[in-house]
Amino acid sequence: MTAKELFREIGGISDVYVEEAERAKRSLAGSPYVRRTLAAAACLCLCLGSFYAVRLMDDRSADSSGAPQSAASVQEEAPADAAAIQKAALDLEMSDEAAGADEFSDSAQKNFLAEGEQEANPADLRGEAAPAGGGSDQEGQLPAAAAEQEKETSRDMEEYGDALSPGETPAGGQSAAEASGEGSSDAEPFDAQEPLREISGEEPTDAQKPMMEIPGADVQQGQSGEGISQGAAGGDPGRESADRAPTEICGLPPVDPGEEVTLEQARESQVFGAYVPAAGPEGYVFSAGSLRENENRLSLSWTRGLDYLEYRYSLYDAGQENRLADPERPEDYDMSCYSIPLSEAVPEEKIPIVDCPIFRVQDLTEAILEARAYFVPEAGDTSGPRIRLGILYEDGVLLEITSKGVTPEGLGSLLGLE
Amino acid sequence: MEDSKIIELYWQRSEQAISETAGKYGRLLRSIAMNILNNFSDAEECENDTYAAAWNAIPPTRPNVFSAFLGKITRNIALNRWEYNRAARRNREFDLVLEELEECVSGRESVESLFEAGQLAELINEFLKGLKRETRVIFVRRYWYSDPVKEIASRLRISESKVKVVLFRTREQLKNFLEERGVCL
Repeated sequence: MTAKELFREIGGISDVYVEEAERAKRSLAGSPYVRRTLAAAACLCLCLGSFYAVRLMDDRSADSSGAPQSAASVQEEAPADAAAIQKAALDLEMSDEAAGADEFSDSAQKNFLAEGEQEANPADLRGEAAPAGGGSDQEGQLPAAAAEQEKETSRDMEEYGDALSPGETPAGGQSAAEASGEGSSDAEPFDAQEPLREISGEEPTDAQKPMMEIPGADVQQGQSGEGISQGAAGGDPGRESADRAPTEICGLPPVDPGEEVTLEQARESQVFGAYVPAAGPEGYVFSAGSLRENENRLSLSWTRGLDYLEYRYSLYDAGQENRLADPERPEDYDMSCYSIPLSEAVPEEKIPIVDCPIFRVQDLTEAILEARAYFVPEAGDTSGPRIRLGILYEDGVLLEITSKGVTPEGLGSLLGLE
Repeated sequence: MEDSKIIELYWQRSEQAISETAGKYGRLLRSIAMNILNNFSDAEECENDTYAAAWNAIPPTRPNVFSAFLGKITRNIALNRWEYNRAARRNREFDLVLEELEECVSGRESVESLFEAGQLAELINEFLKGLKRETRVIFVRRYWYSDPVKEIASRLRISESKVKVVLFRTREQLKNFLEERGVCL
């Protein structure tokens, strides 16, 4: 039979299906033009919302936060793009408030000049010179408008400071400068985003080190009143090791990233080495390996552009029994039984097994690998098959495979399937 | 005007039946023919031939779904015209439809396959019955109406890639379905 004859035969299908397809009318909201317009409008709203949010935060920090750290140090820490945003906000305020705002700025400048001798060198604020040891390179590039803003902020803070009784600690915490007993603007402010360094100069204890390497851990340190820290000037040693450092996420205990291993080293592993392939699929390059001996876990990955193959070895435990797949039950693993998005198509009780079924090695066939392959059309991504499954070996080793771009045949040959 | 009334006009041999049919279904029939022929004048000719064929067929026929009845006539006329034209002109989009369907057939002709051809539509009906509604609509829009993939994606508010993937899988399923029932195309 030819394709043309089949086409004619399809012409003889039930009128019900022809009518059903005819009634699937195009929706105006679904037309590409309308979708593009809606997307553009949403982006515009987001931009405007972000702009006003920044402006609002700026106003609030000037009005109420009153952190008695010098305006100079606040501005010194601000990145270049933040300075640009402040400048834009300042320009807007200037145009809104017109002449009244000019008078306000003049008085603020006078106040600032009077107090600048005590607080900070005005030349620093204008970016003419960087303070030794405490400034960044960016401060020399501060625009004049940003310096104006600093002056206003400085005046507001001064007024706020006057309202406090001597020795009273303002709400919102203390600055690093105060904590260190130094009032000069050379001291860097307390910055929760910066990695930590002990001001005291003492080396941290071993128990403190992991916590100190965690971005954001300074909050806990500050609460305990111990070891108030500041960002390291001119260097960021904590960040360099951030990829490998134990990381606390959502309050969960830090996860040990394990020891980096090469493919050869992985093959020498006593527990998993026998199941580590000599090489990845054709065209794929070994990209990373991680071994956690104490947890009996080994991870290996290969990449080829946007495509990847990940092998995760562990020891099977009884808690994974609900993912053990029976080849006679394709509804548990055959991806062609379900449409994308899977979250809508797969019954809730079947999600664990359909997501990553575990096959006993003797059950595994190329047909199963083909049944596991599915395609997700995503703009900008490669269109290769995605495969995810686990293989349980007879000695209890569990290999979980996640891949994109590797064909079932390619994966089958890598696993030694005929 | 309702379909039953238009059909009644055919039975009464009223020429108004033709104008009513053209007013209600002319655009649909032209689009079916255009998808196959990619030529407006040919499509218009197919449309007129459809009215003539309907005039000759009713009575004695009394179609259940009038739009599908007319569409089938147009489709067959357009396919004949496409065969006539194919040596001189090509319609890339319709060629694509046939190329896709070639995945389901062997391309050989045999006595058995000709015998099967008479029963094939029934099997395809059974296959379509087992599909999800969206998949079925995509399949029918592509291989009955010969709609371009882009048009189907736009109509159903899904991506073109998804339409292609659904069609690919459905063709595979159709081939397997027919093979399981002993039909080797």
